[in-house]
Amino acid sequence: MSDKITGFLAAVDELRGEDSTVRTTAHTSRVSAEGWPAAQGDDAEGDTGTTEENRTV
Amino acid sequence: MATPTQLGFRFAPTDRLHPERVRRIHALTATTAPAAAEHAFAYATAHHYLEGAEAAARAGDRDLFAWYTAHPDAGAHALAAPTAVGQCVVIAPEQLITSPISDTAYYLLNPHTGPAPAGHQELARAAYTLADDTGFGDLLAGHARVLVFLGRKGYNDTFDSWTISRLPGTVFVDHIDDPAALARDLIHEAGHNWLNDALAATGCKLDDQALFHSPWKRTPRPAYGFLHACWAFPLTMIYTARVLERTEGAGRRFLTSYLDLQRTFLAGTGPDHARALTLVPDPDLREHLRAVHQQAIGL
Repeated sequence: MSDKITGFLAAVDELRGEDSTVRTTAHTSRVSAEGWPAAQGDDAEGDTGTTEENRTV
Repeated sequence: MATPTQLGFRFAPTDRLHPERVRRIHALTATTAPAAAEHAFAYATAHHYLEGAEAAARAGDRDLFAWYTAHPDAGAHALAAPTAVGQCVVIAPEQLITSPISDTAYYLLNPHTGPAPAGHQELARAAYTLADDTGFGDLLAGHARVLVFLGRKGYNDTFDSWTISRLPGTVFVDHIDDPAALARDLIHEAGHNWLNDALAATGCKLDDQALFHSPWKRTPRPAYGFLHACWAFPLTMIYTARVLERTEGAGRRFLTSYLDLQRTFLAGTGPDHARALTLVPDPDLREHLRAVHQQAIGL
């Protein structure tokens, strides 16, 4: 099993190649069902494309 | 309601990417995807298999690694249920995980994963049906085959949803007991998965030096985030405009407010969007992004 795991991990590294970037697209939304613009100031729409070292929402 | 115009979410490079990627993932352990699996379903679940098997291998968990190698669909077929866009896995895990690959929480299908409760399944089915009825069936069929429910919210709450590029075809969403609202967020997140796949399939590496003003974040952002926002939000605007006639009461007010707000955000993005599109070398991809943005601007 150890040889199989070792071989698997080597193959995974080869599959990923140099592209180790992990991107997240996070989305936060808030609107009021009672009507905009009352909720405008609280809105926080956004999408974030980041690397694994730099992720924010 | 007349059948709405389909936006054309089939993208040939992505159609080639999905089966090739599945083949390469399963070649890692000399397994094969279940023969009956559709490419998009196999693509989404193969990445759960890959991430799960890798995590088990790195942790030295031989039993779990053996389970993944014996289940190249990560157990997805046993969990899947039919929807308007095909078989989908709908789950509502109690806990998500973080790991060195992402500080954004996520979830991997594993031997202990069970299906979401019946109410969640019914809500999901209704949302997939609404999305299909409004012209977004191909988008969800290709890019939202694993639905991970997060928290239950009210109309006035803040909703979180996200995707992670290591799990294409999987979407993480807060929800409210309103299929029209859930479909909006499924479409938004599936849009992100669609664009990530399209960029990968066309070998597009976006220059991250140029910045563009994002009205959603109220800050300058690189092309990747800006183009994602100018794709995913317009998709939800087009959907919302189409679905409004099927809604009433608080749900209708919620979506109407959302559409009004998005109109104001999108209105000033034209010049920056045109400039950002020049960084996309593939003409077909560029046209997809331009056409959706333009349609939403016109709402």
